[in-house]
Amino acid sequence: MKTQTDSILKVSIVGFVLVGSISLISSAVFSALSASAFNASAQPISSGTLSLTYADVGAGFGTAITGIAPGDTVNRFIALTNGGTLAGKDLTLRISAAASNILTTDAAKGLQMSVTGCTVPWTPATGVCSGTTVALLGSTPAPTLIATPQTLVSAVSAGETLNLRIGISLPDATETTTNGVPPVGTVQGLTANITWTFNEVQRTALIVNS
Amino acid sequence: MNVAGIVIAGAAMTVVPAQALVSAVITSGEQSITSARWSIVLNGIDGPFSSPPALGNNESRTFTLTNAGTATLASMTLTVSASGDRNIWLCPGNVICNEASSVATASIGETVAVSTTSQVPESPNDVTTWTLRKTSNGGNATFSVNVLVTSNDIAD
Repeated sequence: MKTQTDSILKVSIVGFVLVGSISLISSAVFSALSASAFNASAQPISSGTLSLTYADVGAGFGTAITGIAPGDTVNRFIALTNGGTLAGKDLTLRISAAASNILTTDAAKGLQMSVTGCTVPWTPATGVCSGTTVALLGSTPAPTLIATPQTLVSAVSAGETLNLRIGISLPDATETTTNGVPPVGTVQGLTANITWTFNEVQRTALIVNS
Repeated sequence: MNVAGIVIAGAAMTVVPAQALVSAVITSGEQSITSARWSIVLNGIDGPFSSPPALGNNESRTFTLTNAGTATLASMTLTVSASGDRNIWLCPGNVICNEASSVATASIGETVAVSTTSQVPESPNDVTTWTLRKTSNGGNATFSVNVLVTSNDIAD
């Protein structure tokens, strides 16, 4: 009986010793040293902005064009500004037409658009650029501009204003109106309601080391 | 440590390029573009131009050209054909048409064309007058007149 009691006592003592040892080990882990550093003043990190706006120069897009005839070119002028803080790229132009007719569906007989830039603002009354002109888009049929945006400029600086002359032409055509009746497929007396859309994307993303 | 696209490793900081592109769009309001319409109406004043139009003895025929379209016209070509047994003069205006005042003479069986920038009904609703007359009395002449108008200009 005594032997059994001694055994129980020994086991209990060994258990207490083991638990005590584990506690000592744990205490040793929790007592490790640490250090940290941080900037005393918070670092501002701000994102850039990308913005396009346009303004009519002269009649611009805000005034209807009436009575355009085959061979006519009507020039309208606008100022397109990349007004954000980010540079842009791949500036494109596309158009949409509220209603379809030959003016906007026929690549040969319908309207054609061109875009020319000027380093200084255009003089709309005379159509004169007193700076340097650059052709940004050659004469392009309306159906093409409706189907596919056309690239005007590959890069636009932040804050840059593009002075644009938009040429709207009706190609030469021969039609004969007989006794007041125009021919089938005439370009006469039609109206196209055009919406002009310019689009750009941000400049190529950068990896900045400084 | 990776936090929202910004990697901080030691003292160096690298800004990771955004994956999505920012784009900007500007769209105009609708711009109306209307093409012109060309229409010339010929009216015989003192006689018919319906077939067979003919000039009898001492007859002349005055007709008007009306710009019934919306286009502004720059020039036109008048084509006159004569048949029968007399030649035909074409004169601008409502005049006593003779050799001196004529701008074209169509011989029998001939078609002549004359291009002009005068007596053109330039603006919509403008009306101009022309006269046909046989070159001599007696006999008979039938005629036809065709008008081709042109307009080309560049507007700013």
